Amino acid sequence: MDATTHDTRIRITAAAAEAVRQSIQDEKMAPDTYLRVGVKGGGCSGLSYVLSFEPERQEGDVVIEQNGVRLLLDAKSEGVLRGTELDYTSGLNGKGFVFNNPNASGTCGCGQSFSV
Amino acid sequence: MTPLPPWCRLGDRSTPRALPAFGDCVAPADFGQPELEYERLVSAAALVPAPWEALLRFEGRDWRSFLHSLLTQDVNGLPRGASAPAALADRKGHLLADLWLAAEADADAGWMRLRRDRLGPVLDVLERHRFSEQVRWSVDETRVCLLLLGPRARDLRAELISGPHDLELDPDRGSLSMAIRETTGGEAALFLPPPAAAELLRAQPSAGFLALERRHLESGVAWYGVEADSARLVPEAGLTDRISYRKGCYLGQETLARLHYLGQLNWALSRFRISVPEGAGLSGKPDLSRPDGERIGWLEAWAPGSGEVAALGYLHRRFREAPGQILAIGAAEVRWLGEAVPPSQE
Repeated sequence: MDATTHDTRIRITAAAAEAVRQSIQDEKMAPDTYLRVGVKGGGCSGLSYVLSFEPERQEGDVVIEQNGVRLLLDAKSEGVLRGTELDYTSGLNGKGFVFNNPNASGTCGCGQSFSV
Repeated sequence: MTPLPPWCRLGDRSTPRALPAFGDCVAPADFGQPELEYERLVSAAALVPAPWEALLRFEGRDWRSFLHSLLTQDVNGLPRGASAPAALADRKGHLLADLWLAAEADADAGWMRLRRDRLGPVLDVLERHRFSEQVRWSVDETRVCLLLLGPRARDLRAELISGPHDLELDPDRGSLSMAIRETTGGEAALFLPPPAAAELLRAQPSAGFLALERRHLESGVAWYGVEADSARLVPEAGLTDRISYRKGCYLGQETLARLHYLGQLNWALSRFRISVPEGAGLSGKPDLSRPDGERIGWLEAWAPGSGEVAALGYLHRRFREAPGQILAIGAAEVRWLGEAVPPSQE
């Protein structure tokens, strides 16, 4: 497999990266823990986002490093997430990670799923 | 008359006991006694060759959660050994496929029964929505389907199939039995190697497609491609028992939940008795109208012949308040019997 690469296929904002690093620290995980960013089938509009921490990469994963965070993408998710910005918002309406995906042609009312 | 799927043809009456190999779809019209065969389905039990049925097997760690997130039914909550009806909808809630699901009792695997002409669309959706989930599926091409139907189907099933579960697999015979409980509660779909299926047909009461078609029109459970297709919302087709309103998100859930809790159906599949005068042929999808001429629905399918026959069609909600009312369809008279919505599991 290729070594870690720097890539713009998915972008993680500084705010999101800080939230990821903070979570890794709070949960006492290894500093080099990966953040898996992916897609799974399901949800009102057919596709849902996946975020999870993983200690190691899997066969076929793409590794993208930005703002001090190492992201993992499986090959199929990478195609759906191409150009996506992963942001983190904190405001009166709540806080959490937000996917700004230019490929999403529609989302469900609750925002938890999307279609391409 | 209800058409067979276009890729399936009615078998030659002179060789009705020949069973097709997988890949062919030849449905025996009858076994020489169509009235008796119909009576078996009405008052007893019979086996009906259903070569249009297909089977998919699912396995892998995520098979349940994967299907749960796509189908209208609660797959995660399906007990081991149990079966349940389900549907695959598009994200607007339109029906893409009508299914039955079952979980194996002794292994972490599942089976899906569906019409063979829906295999392509279903496999396409499954493939497009599989990312990192650990799920595999395969099309079973070794068995043909016999439907076990009628009010005494439960008793006959107990004679033919050993085991207490909705889904029973017999590795020795290579058979699979899936309870389908469509109308009388005891029905099953039996999938067997063609020689075993032919042997069973010789030994047990049987019925052909013409008898099945008549019973189907009277029972009012929609067939995909006949009275329901991708232009219809799942509840419009009366398939409400395919939907769990307690589970989480799935494809089309937003529309179907809003319809269930906040909305109302404009059109609903309804059962009719139509009185067809001698020589008055019906064709296409004839409009239903009130005596003043206002169009209020249309017929999708009806039994052949003249006199009073069963039919299925769609009626607008503004006119679904008086079962028994008389409607008109050209020269024929139509009596509405009520909606064809099977009991909900909710």
